[in-house]
Amino acid sequence: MSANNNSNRLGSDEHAVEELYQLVGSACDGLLTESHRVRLNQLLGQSTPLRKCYLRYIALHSSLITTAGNQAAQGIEEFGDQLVNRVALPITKLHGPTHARPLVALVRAALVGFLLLSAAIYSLNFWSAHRDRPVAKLAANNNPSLPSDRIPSLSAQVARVNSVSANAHWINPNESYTVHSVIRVGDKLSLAQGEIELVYETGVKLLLIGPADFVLRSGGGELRRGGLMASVPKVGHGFKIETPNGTVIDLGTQFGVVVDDFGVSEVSVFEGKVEAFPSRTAGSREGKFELSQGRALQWSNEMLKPLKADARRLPFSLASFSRSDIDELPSNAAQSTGLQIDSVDAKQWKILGDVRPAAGGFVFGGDRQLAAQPYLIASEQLDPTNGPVTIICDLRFPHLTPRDEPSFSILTRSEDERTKMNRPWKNVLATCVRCNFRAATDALDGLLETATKYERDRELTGISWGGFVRPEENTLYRLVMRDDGVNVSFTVSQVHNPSVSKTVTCRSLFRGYENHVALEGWDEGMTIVDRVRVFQEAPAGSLANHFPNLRGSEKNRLSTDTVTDTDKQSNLLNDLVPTNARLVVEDNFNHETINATFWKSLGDVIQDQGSVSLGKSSTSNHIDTFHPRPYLLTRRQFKPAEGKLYVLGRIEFDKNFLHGYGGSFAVLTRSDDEYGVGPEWAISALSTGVRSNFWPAATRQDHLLEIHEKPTANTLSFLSGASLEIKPESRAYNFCLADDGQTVALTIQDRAHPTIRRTLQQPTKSQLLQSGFIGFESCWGSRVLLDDVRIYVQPPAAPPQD
Amino acid sequence: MVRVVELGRGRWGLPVPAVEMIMAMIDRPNGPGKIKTGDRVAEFVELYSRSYPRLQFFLMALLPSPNDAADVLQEASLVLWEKFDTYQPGTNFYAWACAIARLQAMKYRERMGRSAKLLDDAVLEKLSDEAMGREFDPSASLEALAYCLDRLTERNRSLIRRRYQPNASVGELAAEIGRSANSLSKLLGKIRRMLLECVERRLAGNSFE
Repeated sequence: MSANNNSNRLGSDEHAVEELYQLVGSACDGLLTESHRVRLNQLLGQSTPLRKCYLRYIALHSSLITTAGNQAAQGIEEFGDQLVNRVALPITKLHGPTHARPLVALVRAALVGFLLLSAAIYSLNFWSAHRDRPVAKLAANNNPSLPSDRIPSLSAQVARVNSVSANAHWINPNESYTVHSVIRVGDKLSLAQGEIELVYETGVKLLLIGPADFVLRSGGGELRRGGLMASVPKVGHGFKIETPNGTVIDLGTQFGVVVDDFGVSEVSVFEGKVEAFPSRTAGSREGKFELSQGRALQWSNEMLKPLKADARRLPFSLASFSRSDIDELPSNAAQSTGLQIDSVDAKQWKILGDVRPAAGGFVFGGDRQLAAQPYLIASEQLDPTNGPVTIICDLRFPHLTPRDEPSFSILTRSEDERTKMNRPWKNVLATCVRCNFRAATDALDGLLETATKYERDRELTGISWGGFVRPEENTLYRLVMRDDGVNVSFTVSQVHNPSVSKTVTCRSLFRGYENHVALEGWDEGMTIVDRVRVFQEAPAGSLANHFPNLRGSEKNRLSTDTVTDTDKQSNLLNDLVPTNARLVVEDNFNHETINATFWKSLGDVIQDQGSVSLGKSSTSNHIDTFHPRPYLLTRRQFKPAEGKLYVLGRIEFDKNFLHGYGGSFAVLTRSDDEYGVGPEWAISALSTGVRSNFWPAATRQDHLLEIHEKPTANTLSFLSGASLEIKPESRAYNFCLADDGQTVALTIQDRAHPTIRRTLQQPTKSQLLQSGFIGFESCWGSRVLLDDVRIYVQPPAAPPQD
Repeated sequence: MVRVVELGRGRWGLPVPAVEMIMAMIDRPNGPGKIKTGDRVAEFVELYSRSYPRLQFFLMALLPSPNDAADVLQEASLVLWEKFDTYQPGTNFYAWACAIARLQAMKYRERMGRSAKLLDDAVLEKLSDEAMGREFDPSASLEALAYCLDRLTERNRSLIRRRYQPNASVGELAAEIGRSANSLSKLLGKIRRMLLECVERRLAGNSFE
């Protein structure tokens, strides 16, 4: 009965609520008539629940207004960024008396604090990407700073970090992003070095190459500095990258964009087409440039250069060149061209002005009357895009007066002639990238400057940095310049006090007309230069190798496998197996089907082109740890305590092995041959056994190699873990597992980089695990190709007494 | 204290009008009245920013017709700024702000006459007490709202979007899409009801998660 009453009451309430909602709706829309107004007041006056309904409705209405207003909040990102810059200033300085400016800054700082802190749900931007013209019109009218096409859809708002290179350094570590983390529209990624790969929800992959400043936008982003490579699938067409002076829109491609420190942007198209929209100063040609495969375009405010696409323009970031190595060859200089200058050979070196060999080096004479810098120029050109060029020299200024402003420079991508035009820069080589160390004019400090001279008839465009001591008389300085064709680093240090040292870096997209290396002396006095060395390193691996999509598809199935394929020799871990171990199983899987006398399997295990595929190939990034895992298992059981087991082989992960949860490969010993039950992911694994696992995408560094123990079906214990350097392009590995019944040792080796190798050794604990099958496991969603498996048994050293 | 939290992780969270208002306040020649220290200013900005959505809601509850609440909010904000030295740090800023906003709303009604007096004084009295309840904090439901908007049909979502464009008017929108203002308003009302139900279901669901 009471239920009936209730529903009756509700019935009448419902009617009132219905009426109320209609009235409030009209009120909100400004359409309430007088009689309706009276009725609304009646309803609201009589019942608290109705007032609550009213307030809830108004709260929704208010939220809708707020959120709609906040679409425009996208437009205040710029403003927000400015504020962030302000906040970057030391705020404590602003705590003074209330002068107008500091106050403003402080308030803005606080505002930023709030803006950032509010984790702000407001910007959950629900508005659909499907736009119709009237809205676009309205948006444009109401907020001209916000083109309506910047209103993002929910689905396009987010990207995820797919991988972060091991050498990645964030400019501010507190603003870093880990693998798998989400990046939202407006988030800024500032990399000092290293690379990170993002995947947008549309499937677009973007590799950001540090040093870089990038702001994520809906369906693209803003590259303020640095380099990126994008691979855009069909659904992602229209992907848009903005640079400080233009826009690049994808028409279905793989392309790279680089922005340097001197206002130059460049796009290279490796596949498909893009449209570039350089925005340039008045008077120059504006417009759209469609670029097809193999083409590139470089532009600044003043020039526009069609070029050939070149993946070397997107080099991996500046390898940090530590000062302690200065006396050594660069790390990979085994293959480098090293030049040490002891004497000037007219064939090898060209001199402009007064440069002469002297005891212990060279004297660069400066003739005040000529006011022309002396040059020592290498005749042979060294194109830095063929491999980073490093130039090292020691120098001192023997005679300085306090008024002198000494200067010394190293040049790359240079011509071997002076400019000649009668301008202040006439004596500088015609075109070049120039790193200069000098005294600041009328100041106490020294400057390091990186600059580019683009054309003969142009001045140097450069950035100079203080923060260094003024050059002192007879102090020995070491200058190191490294140029990889885009990234330039320049270090000046005092040889006898290396703690006085400063490094500046810059990116210059200038493509030298010629590629001479030159040393430039001071034009007003003597410089003594010693120990000049020039190196060119072997080219850094082409970016294509590091960006999976730039590689071919199935044709290079074992592409990263550079080792020749002659079974036993192909596993560099062979020497882990003692000579007295007996080979009991050997299979290179070069048969039609899996040899059933050796093997049985669980799940998707198939013979595939000369190897065994554990799991099916998948292009999806979904890798699941709960689906039953595929296993290849031995038919017979082994008892390691009676003969130590050595299990060797090689594997290759699928392309998606670093995506999502990541692929894995495990060797099981003393194992059951049936799936188990929990806990957690163990439900997908064999019920008992010792599991030695290799998990390249492990979220924790100390879990790349793992030893687990499953003594019974319902248990799982992690015994220990270890790390291993993972190169994203390396999918092929050797493995060796040793098990003597008490201790297991898992060794993993990167086949392309054999020095990347690690052994994890761990005593097992459970007495329950004595004997069982040997199994090979991958996971669901990322197959592993297994090949050249060998199992050895080493007889015990002392035979049993009986 | 100026606290800069999660720098770089932020999405810009404040509606443009609020930001503009704050900037306008900062740039006012009179400055912050008797406020002496920068810390106090920062404190104001933070408190005000935090309360802004609720304050907007509060005024809308009292002045539901279009634009009234926005106008009063603007005036009230400046008063809050000027009177901030009477605010006791550590007390409920929202309550303090609502008291001032309410007075401003009353003044506005006096000034504007009948057109702004949609609600009777007695109703207003009750509403202004009840609207301060925590349950009506619109910022708490924004995430749910986004979820629910996403689940509207394209046509309905588009309508809502156009209705809530800044400075949009139902009359103009109705003319644009070729129907009467009243029928459009009814339709909008239906969509709002759907959203309301969805948001409340979603919030109830969330509280169990």
